[in-house]
Amino acid sequence: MFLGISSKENYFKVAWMLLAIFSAILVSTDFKILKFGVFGKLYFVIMAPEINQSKKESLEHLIEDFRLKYYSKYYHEATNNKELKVIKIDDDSILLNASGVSQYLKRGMKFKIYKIDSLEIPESQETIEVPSMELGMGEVEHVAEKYAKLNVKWKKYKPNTSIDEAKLVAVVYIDDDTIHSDADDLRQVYDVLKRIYISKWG
Amino acid sequence: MVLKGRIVKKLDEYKVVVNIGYIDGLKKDMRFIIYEEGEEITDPETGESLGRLEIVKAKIKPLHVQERITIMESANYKKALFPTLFSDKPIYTQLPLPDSVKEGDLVREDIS
Repeated sequence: MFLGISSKENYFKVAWMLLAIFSAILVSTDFKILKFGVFGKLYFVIMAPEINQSKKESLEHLIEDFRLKYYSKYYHEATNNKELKVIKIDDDSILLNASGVSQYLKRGMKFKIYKIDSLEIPESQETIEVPSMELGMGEVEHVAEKYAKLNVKWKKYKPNTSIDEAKLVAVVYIDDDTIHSDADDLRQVYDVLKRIYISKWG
Repeated sequence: MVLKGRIVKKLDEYKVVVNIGYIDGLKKDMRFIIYEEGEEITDPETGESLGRLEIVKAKIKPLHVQERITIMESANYKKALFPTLFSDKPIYTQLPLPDSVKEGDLVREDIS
């Protein structure tokens, strides 16, 4: 008979042999059995590379996290934390004047958007402009030679295009852990993670 | 210096030929964008011109680098909804270039 299955006993032998083969694949490749069952006389195994896949995705997230940590910190150090002027507001996207700093801007970097207020200094009768109210958080989507486009999630106050253009600035966002870290150390971790990823998944 | 060029031929829905090659400094691990130019962007406070608005059509990457030309392919991917059962590699599916991509379109190195 087909595959030598001539009796119920042989049928189970073949079934267990197949299960052993599947188990070997499972162990050697991190496959996960999603479902093992019987449908009539047919044994079936549904497997998925879920464990391996979740490892891969976790590493991808980690690499992306360190890429952004490094570039944000590097921008902070290389430009002396330069505030970038908002030059155009278009609903949930803005353009920043990135003249001279575009080489430090990378996709995914986050910037806090602040409204600029003028403060008078009584003794000198001079006015200085300082960032005051935080309006939202922007993420770099596109970098050109002299400007950058960010997608913004506004907080409660959504700026008025005609009034607020040129009265907003963007300040790079760096989380608390990263602010005290050395840019070179972050770069090393990023490079090591990338090497691990390439060696395993190409 | 950011590498810039143009599409000189669209080979198929995934691949184009660009008029820059290794003589121009193009390397296999570089990434590029296909874009068209829009309105001029100026700083409203200073009046400084910041160039023309770049409307990105697609991301591409070198496939085969020659002296003066390079075959590039789509670098736009979508994540597969159901990963292939017996391999963990092809979970990202390469997307074709948009129909709007044509010969003469501008190409430049993606610096971000």
